[in-house]
Amino acid sequence: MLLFQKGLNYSQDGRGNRMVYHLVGCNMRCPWCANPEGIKAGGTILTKGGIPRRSWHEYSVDQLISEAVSLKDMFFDGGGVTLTGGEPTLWTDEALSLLDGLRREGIHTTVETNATSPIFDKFVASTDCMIMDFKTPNAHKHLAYTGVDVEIVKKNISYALDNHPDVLIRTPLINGVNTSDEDMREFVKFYTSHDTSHARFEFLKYHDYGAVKWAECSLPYTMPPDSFVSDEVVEKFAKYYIDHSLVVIRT
Amino acid sequence: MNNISTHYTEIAKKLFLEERAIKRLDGWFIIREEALRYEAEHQDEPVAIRQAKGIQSAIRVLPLFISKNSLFAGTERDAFAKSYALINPNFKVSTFNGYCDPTAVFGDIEPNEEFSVERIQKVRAMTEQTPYVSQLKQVYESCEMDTCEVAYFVEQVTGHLIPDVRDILSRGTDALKVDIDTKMANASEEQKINYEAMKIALDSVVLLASRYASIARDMASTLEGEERERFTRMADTLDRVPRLPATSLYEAVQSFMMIWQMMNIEQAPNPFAFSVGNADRIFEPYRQMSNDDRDLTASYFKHLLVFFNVADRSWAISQNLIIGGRDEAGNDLTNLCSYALMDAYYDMNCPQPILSVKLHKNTPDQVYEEMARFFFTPGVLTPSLFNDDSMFATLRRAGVREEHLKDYSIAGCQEPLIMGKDNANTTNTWLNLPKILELTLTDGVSLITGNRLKAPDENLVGKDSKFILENIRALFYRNLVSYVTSMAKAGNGASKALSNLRVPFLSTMMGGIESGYDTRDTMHQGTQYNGSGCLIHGLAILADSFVAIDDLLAERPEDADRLMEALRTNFANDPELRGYLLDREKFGNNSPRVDAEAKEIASVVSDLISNTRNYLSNPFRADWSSPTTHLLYGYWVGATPDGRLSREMLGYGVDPLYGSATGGFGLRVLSQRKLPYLKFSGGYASHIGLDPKYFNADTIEAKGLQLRDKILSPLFFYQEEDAPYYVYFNVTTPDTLRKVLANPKKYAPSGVYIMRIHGTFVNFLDLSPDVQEDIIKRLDLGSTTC
Repeated sequence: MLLFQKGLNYSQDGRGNRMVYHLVGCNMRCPWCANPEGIKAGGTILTKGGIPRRSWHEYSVDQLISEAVSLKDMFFDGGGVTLTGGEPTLWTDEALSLLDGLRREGIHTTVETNATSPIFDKFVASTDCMIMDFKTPNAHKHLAYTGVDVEIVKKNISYALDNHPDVLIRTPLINGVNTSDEDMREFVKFYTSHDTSHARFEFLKYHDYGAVKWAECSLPYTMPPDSFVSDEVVEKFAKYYIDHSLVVIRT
Repeated sequence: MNNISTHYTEIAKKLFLEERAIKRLDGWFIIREEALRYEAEHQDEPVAIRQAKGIQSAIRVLPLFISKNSLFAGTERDAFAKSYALINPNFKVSTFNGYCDPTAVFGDIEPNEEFSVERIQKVRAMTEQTPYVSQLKQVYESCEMDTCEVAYFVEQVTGHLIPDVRDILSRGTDALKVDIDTKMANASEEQKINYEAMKIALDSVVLLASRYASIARDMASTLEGEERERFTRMADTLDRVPRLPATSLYEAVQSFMMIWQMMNIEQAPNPFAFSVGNADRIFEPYRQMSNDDRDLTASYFKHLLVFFNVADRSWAISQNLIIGGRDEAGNDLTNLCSYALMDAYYDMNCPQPILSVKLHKNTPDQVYEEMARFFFTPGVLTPSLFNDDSMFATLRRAGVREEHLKDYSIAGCQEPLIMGKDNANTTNTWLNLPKILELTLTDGVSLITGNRLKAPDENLVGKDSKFILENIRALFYRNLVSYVTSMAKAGNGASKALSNLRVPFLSTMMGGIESGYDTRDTMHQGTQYNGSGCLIHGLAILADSFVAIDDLLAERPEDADRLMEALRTNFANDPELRGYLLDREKFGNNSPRVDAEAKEIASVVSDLISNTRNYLSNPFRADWSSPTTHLLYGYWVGATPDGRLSREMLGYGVDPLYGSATGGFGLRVLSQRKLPYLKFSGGYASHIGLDPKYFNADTIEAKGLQLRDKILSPLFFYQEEDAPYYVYFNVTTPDTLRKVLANPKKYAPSGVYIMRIHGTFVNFLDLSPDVQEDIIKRLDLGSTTC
């Protein structure tokens, strides 16, 4: 497996202290992506200060399981391992094998995904916590911004809501993309058509921390400067969600 | 807090402000001037006696002063010269040349009406004529080719010991003189001279106390009320101690100050890094005698902390004070004085002396809960932490007797010594592994200056770059043995030169009364334990470089010459190769291969150092620490095969090179756990920057327990032996520090923002830009925070 980043962090990508593996490759092309070095399958050459640097390192499934086992005493507060990306479900066999191996070792697993996998049900069955990014339920905008049809995303999120006991749905709030009242109503309309008693929701304010990395990847950063959202917008979304009995969290 | 404790706290704070207003440090000059004058006039006397009397003569003439805000008499500022404080605002990496010239200190004194140029020059000239200075000069000349670009460095070690003050506190100097008389009955002539010098030195501290008593009594006669009572008590106490046993905490603190001042005067102008040891255990018996409560005890300790302050910038004198810890059976030794000392430190927030806390797996929750206020209050000092469980194992392996383990203490920054029994000569030698790697790769030619610093290796004639790279480990270690041999010879020479300056007063607290020999004696062992330190630099760079060379040879062997050329040109024309080297596995990411390399290097080099003998045929001690010298020594190292650029800093202690470890605290700790701590008999350095956001408990006390559970348990207590035994933290972020620099009035309105650098506290705002940037870089949250 190719990883472009790995490390421990606390409560940012799942509960407790977690080892987070960032897998290379993504099938979406979101222009706001904070990890553009993880988009291209096979990895990217970054240029940092004039020095060409490889974005990835290669590991076997067994290496990662062994490493996670050695970290067990650091997985406190409900921690464990999170697979993210890129899009981790693109590593179908390896990722499922890794998840199974981790669970056999008694390690809590989380997958952070864009919910486009055609075998999503297998990931749902193999993972203790599902984190799904949902950009917009609007078909036109979803296709325009990510390059992927929204229907597969909605289908998979629906499946997770209906079948998984621990679901977190994250939405990056980006001015001009998904912050209108109509966007807000569409999100909630979609969620409330399911049982959400075991789901949590989180908003991630747009930031441009990734802009430097886009340049290092020799790619243009196309996000307009007015993409930032105010705290008021986030609060508006949170209130609307809560008013519709959805659980909103902040990590 | 009751009225008297509150009052004592108020005057302690006023006293601290007075101390911080002192700009000149002239006392050391007066001491040396008078001591040299006496010695010049009494050449017929044996050296030890002559020098002891010289110091006594200096104590007679040294101007003394007691402030109206004092609770106790005494100061240690008179013994220090500023130029020995490495951490100062004028420090520049590019201009530091070590302490080769012991007469350079005379440049510290700014001439004025009292201290004329002629007067200063006269004392300097007399100093230059001493055997100490002339022998030391010969040592530096003999190793100049090795030290000019710091393949290694050597120095004479003053200070840096932990006297055992307990005997004088509990029995008084009169009792010690009786002991000496008893020992003299069966002593050799040489020992009799040493004993005579010790008795003179013991009389000198009584003389010092009597002079202060007289001043205090005079002050009392002009004052009224509480002030009159305070100074009368001070005078009466100084009539008794340290000549007689202390019978209360107040008397013990006063006695301690006299002892400490005398010990420093004896080593003026450089008594840096003398350390107290477990102050809580030293003072607790006396607190119990006087049954003082925690507040009153803390108020006494606040004055004790002010006593350690040296002048306007609270000069970083590297004196260390410890609390907590366990005994050999595992029993916790924390007591009320431990907590009172924390109270005093927190309330005063003095930059000196350094606070250290000993921990073990059964340390009470209360220690973590009360210690938390230091870590989670911005701009407040943070203690360095020691793991007794692992430290005991390391010291046991080094030959320390079981009953002495609990008395290990920290000399200066992080070097463990046994209080009162161990002359460890801690900073005697300094080894720069990356420079030796450079000179191995180039066969002796500096990448910095192009100068040849070592004769060509006959075995390399006609060999190409690929041969050198393929045999880099063997060639490196062969060169290392050669440099270490030269280094030890020079280091021992520096120790022998220093032995010309006797320290009879210190010797009475270091086992000298038992042995009959001076602590610094290089022919006879005056202390129970003896060794010499070697501070080893560049572990991470060496490990990363070896692995990078292996990868290059395996994947692109045709680039061997290209690597050599890239190192010579500092990668100026080869960014692609530098990128390749930077992308190799690095220490600190839990990479089995490079971690194993680091472990191997640490093990082999530690063994080499331990098998090297000092002037008394005792082992050198491997100390993997770099007290800001990772900046200084990095400045003299060219580009390295790990992709590091020429003149960039080295890694700090046993830490990954900044920016190289990117997986956070957990992976870094897993890497560092693999190092052979049992072999680090001289200590090591490690720093972790922690993001305050990581600790999310509701109360400060609960955050202290989180610090234990999230950080210290996986770092220290995962196994009892061969585990890390030292760390210091800075709980802040680079962003925060940059804000403090940009707007100090907002973020540090008092003008003091304390950070920890290596073993010492510093006012971040007072540092040079070089050191400020080092602190910010090494917060390096990618490798250190969680």
